[in-house]
Amino acid sequence: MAMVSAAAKGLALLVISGSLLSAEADQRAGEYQVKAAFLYNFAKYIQWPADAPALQTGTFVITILGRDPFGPSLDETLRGKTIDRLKVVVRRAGSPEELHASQIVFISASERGQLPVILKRLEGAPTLTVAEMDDFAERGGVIGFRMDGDRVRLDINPSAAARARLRISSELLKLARIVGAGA
Amino acid sequence: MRDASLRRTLATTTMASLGTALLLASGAFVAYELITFRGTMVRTLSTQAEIVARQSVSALVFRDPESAKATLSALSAEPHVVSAAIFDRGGTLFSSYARDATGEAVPPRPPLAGAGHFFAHDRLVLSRPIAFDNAPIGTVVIESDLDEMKARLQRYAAIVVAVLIVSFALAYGTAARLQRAFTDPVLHLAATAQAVSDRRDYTVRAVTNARGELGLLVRTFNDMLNQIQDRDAALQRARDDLEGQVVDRTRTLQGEIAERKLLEEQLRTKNTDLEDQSRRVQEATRLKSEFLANMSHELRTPLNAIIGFAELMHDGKVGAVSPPHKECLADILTSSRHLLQLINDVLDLSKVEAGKMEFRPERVEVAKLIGEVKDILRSLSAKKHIELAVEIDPALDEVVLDPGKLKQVLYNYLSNALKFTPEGGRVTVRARLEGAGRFRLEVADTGVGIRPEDLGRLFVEFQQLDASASKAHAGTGLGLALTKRIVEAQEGTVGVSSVVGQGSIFHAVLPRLARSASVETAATPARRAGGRATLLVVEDDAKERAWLAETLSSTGYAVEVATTGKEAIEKSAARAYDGITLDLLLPDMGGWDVLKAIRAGGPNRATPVVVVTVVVEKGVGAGYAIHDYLAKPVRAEELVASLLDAGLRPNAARPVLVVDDDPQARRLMVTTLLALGYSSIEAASAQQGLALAAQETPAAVILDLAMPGMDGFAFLEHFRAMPAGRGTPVIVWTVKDLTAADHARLAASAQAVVLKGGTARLLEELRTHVPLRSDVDRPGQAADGS
Repeated sequence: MAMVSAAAKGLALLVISGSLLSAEADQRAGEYQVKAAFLYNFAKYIQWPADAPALQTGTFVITILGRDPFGPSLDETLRGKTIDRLKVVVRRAGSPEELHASQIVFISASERGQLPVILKRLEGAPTLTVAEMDDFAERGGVIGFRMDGDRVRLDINPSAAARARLRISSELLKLARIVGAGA
Repeated sequence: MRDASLRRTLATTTMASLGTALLLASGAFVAYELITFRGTMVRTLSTQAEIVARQSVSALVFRDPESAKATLSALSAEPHVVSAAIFDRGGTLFSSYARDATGEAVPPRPPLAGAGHFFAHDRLVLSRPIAFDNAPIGTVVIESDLDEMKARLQRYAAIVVAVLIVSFALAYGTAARLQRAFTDPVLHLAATAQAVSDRRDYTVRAVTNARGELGLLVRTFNDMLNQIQDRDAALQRARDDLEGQVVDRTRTLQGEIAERKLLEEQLRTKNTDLEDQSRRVQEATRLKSEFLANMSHELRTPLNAIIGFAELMHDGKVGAVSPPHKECLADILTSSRHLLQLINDVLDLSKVEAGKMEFRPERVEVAKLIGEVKDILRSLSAKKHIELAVEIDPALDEVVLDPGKLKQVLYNYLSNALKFTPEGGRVTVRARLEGAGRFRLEVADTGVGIRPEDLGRLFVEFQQLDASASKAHAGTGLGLALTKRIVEAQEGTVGVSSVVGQGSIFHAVLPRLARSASVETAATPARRAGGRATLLVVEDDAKERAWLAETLSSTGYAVEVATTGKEAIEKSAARAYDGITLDLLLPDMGGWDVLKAIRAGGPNRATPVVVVTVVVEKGVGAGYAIHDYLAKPVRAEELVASLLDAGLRPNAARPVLVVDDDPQARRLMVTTLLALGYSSIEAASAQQGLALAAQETPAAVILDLAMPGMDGFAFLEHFRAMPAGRGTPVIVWTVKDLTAADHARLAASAQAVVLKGGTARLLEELRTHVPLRSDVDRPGQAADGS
């Protein structure tokens, strides 16, 4: 009887911890789904300069630099989508050298160490840089994802945006925390 | 009162119409305003919702409820917005706003994602979709209170009330002034009419200067008053006139009344005179009738004796009579019978005159009745060789009348015709239907005829056409007059037509059904079987009594006599008689009282009574059962026939049936048989004979052979076939020359055949077959002795 009870308790614990693990995973998956959607939605609130090289190719290119945290959610979110009649294409780059002309570059946390190099390389290019590292915008990135509890918040560096010749809608700006212009 | 009422009615009508119109108008206006305002509210709120929706897109897209809340907070500028909320695509509350910070009022989730609005209670709830990139990403819902609308409504109500008050005030003032224009003339008119009505003063006039209908009304009213005034004047004049006329007329009338009273007085005197005269006439009539009744009584009593004894002498019942004596007796009989007839006719006439003749209608076979009358007159017609023919319409079979009176009529016509028809002539009796309910009896002769100037006198009493005829024909001169009276008393008519030298036709037309006739078929009295009938003769007059006793006992009845009423009652109480003859005039008491005593009880309660009397009023006896009523003087045959009819046989033997169509022969035979002591029944035809034979079972039959219809041979065949006919002796009595074949037929069925020409041989034969009581008694006694 005691044995059975103990076994049942063990089983129950196992089930509960399993479900907790699974819930955490779900939460992370949800977070990246939201972030994927944000990446796509940024395009609606940001205007790229007409001479941007990526526009010449007729595609809207989103490049993931470094280790891809989105899993399948980004591709699912963007499948079949267009932005201003431009077909959305997702590319993945392992190093800054592989970066080609892109409208949006998401810099993975794995590339934290090479951030100055990456930002340097993208200096002057009409590219929207997005990362989920702390103080990304303060360090010269355009938009940084910041987690506030389970909610995704935005940091925007208007100076960085102006350097990249991107015009960010006030609608987007009013939602974000505006960070320092220095760099 | 009246003017207040009229005015109030007008004011009320005006106010009510005005109020209704204003309320309707204001209501419509307010309703329109409210509807419009609601539309405006929806539009305004819709605009605000749209703005909020646009401004909340980025907040929704980037999941920033604070930003959305900031947008919603802008609604605080709108004081009527109670709450607002934004729901995401899944319907989850994303952000909300409440006007009152204390309550966490959140508008309800919209029932549908997308645009829409509804008014609930005191709220307007409106929702608008939030779209991003052409796809719905959420819904904004704004809830507004209706305070503004309520406030408007209150303002409107206040305005409406104010308008109503002002309108009413203005309308009342205006109406009051306008009303006076037509109420004043009307009220004036009413007041005038009231005055006319109250004071009966038709000189009052209404005054007006109004035009139009009101003016017309007043003028017409005045015209009416004028007419009434004129009429009153005319009426007054007529009344004055009339009074004068009435006075005149009354005077005239009084004169007339006086005159009439005088006339009435005269009339009354005359009436009294007339009444006196009438009384005297009635008295005279009564005296005349009484005299006649008495006279006939006094005449008939001796006459009865004369006829009765003359008959007996003539018939040789009181000893042998020599032929010259017999001739004288025959003359006496003829003359006395004529006298009797005359007396009877006079009496009948007086009875008809006095309205006392009684009619006893019963069913009568016309043919049979004519046959009977014809039989009575057969000897007369035979003597004069006059052919007597009868023609009867087959459609006329029966009538309901007094057979005696009908016979009398026919007898008078027929005997008249025979009298005035020369030898070898022809007399015809005709009877036929006339109209629906009447029939006509006609007697036509081939006599001398009657002159037209004499026709009128025919039916008048004692008017014989000429003395020679009277002597030659020995008429009473009353026959036709009596006939007329009798027929008319039965609501019939008589008449005659004649051609001198060719003959006359007398006729009588009578109803077929006598008025108020209670039809009774002459009841056949129960016949008594066997036994020598014993009669009680009640008669005070010695001569009458002797004659009755002689006649009845010679016929074969046992007779007992009573001379007073007392004796009659005693005798009838002592024993039962088979029959009683009763005189009504007795010395000690009235005959009816005797009858009453006999009928009251005792052995003779139901004995047949034959009243033999000179008293003519039959009505007195109506309450008592009388078998027959015979008027004195009575003939022997009449009396015996009446007794036989009552079922009283003179002796014990069964009757002898006489079948002969010739009534003379029958009478001769019946009289002869009676004289010998045989009772008899007679039949005028073979059929009647068979019927009687079946009924009576005769002791013997005396049969004629030559008869119309069924003859003697046929009678014999039928008679032998029936129970009554087996073994009964039949003696054929005939004038027929019999053939050998006839003799052969008769030998088988008849006991004897005797040729007519005498009765002696016949009676001998009869006696051998049917012994008389006197014949039987002797052997019977011997038998008893042995």
